Amino acid sequence: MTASLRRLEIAVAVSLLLLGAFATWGAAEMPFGTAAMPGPGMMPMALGLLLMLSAAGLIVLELRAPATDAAVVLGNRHVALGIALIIVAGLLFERVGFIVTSTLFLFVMLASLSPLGWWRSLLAAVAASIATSYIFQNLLGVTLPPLPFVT
Amino acid sequence: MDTLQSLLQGFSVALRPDNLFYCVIGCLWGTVVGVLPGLGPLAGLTLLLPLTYQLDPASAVIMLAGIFYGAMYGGSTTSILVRIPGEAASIITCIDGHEMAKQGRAGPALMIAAIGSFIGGTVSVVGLMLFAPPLAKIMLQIGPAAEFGLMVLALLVLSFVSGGPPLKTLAMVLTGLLISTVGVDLITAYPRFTFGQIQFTEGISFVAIALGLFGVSEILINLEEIAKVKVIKPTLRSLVPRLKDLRDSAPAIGRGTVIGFIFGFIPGISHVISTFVSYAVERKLSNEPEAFGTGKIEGVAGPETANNATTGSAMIPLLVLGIPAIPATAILLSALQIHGVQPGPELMSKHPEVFWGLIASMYIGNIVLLVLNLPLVGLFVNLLRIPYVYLAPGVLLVSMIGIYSVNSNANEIVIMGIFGAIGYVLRKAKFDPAPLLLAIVLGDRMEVSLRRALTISNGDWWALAQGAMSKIFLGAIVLLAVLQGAAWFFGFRRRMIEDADKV
Repeated sequence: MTASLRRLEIAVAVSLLLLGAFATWGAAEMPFGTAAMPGPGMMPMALGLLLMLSAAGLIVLELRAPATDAAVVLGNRHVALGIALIIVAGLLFERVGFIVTSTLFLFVMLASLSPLGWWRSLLAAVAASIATSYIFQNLLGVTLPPLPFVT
Repeated sequence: MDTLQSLLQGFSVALRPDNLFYCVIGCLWGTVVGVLPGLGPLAGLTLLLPLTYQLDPASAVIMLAGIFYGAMYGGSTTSILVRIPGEAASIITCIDGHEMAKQGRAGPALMIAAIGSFIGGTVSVVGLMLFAPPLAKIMLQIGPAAEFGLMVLALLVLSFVSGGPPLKTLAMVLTGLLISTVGVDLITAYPRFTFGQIQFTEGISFVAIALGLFGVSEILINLEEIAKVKVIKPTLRSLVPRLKDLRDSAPAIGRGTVIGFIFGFIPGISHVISTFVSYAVERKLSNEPEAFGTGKIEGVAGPETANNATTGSAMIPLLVLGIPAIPATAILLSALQIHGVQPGPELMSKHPEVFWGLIASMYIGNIVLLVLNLPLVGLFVNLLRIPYVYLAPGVLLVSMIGIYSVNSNANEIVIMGIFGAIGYVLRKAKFDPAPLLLAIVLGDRMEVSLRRALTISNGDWWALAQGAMSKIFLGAIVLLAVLQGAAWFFGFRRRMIEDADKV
């Protein structure tokens, strides 16, 4: 997918503006304190306001800048798959254990990225998961979540 | 005499068999991540950081520092042989280094890069050893007001030297400072932006953010363009440079050492800038400036030396002030803090084994790298033949294991994925995520020092400008702000970037 660089920059600046607004709103509910005894709300409030100001400045600068046709490649299915798989793996990690999560993660990645085909991808994923589990748990002493129902 | 005795004590720590092993592993892993395109020192450090938690602080920092300067060494290999910089500081080496390789002189280019890196790195450690102790004595005398001024100054310098427009850098710094406020307030224990989640009471995991912003986003960007690389493979015999090569390189190595050491103090992308400055200086001083770009050995020797000479001086702000000058040293700071060691002026007195052990290990590490890099260059080159489609899933899997092992909390994998996506979009929109990361590291200290200074002065804001050190920092802040404004007004930055593009 290709996107206009300018639009992307404005989209990021708007996101920062919203983040600043959210922080300011959240900080307003915290004790502000006094000048002699600043409370926990002082810093987030100041930072939120400053972030809103700088993001607004960025938006104005981008809108006033001369138009260009600069474009950026913004993701393809590999990138989307990579992000989605990491998040799904994080959600499954403790629920189904390391071996299952790792096999699933590697299988989907290899099947979609490599020329191995799905059978060989599955075999490679299983073998790599078992080997990784052995190396990290037995050799490096890292505790990984076990398979469900296995103690 | 004290320094010599402390250094000997450091060597007794660094030469322990276990620490030697960790030093070699760090150098080896650093070289590997430096060689592999898309895995720079930062990704290399963040990937291995969680595995250091089971080590003692000295061993952990010795291994991580090995990765840091190992990656600086390794980055030159791909620049010369494939014309793909392993990391940003090796971009300039591509120009003359790869031209030399195409002319069948890859060996001398690699050898000179290794010698220059060794000299730059070693001299830089001597500088670190000499400058750090007296600076620490001065810094021990500063109060919270001056400490706040120092933090503001560090972030301002960062925005001044960072590659992007100042307003973008400022937005990233403010976002980082805001993220650092998540968690329980350090003074009142009031929960801020925790949304009732216990896991956020200590803030958002710095390691998850760093791994996401730099490690994962880098891999995602590389997944967009999976291309086969054409590798020029040198033989061991061809590594020996001619006498003329050594003669031509010697002055460039000397100048590169000085340039790199000076630039290493500056927060931001000093290691990258130092290579550009060194290249520009060599071209300016050369009798044949027009020959640069066609395989001049000075174009390899100078930048590669400068690149490695920043490693020692970049450690000075970290070890003496507790301020990481570049994202890679921010990871080192995080590693030390996790082990209960706070870098700063008291590090030398409270944890001499860590401080002097690290310095001694840097001497050893530079020798290890020289020994490793030359005979094993063929092996490292073969790493480039591993297709990225197999490398990327493996690296992502190791990242997940690494981040899980920190707190045995799988939610941090999700946070890493989210910050990976954020880092990817930020890079695409030309926002540099490095200032964000540094601001997260400095945020807590900056807030606490400001609030302490105000409490001590009973709410008098002028107290921030009292005292000699505060005045010095404030003066520097004003000077930088004026310079920044002037540079912005006259369009100096735009011209500088255009000039750099022409290089």
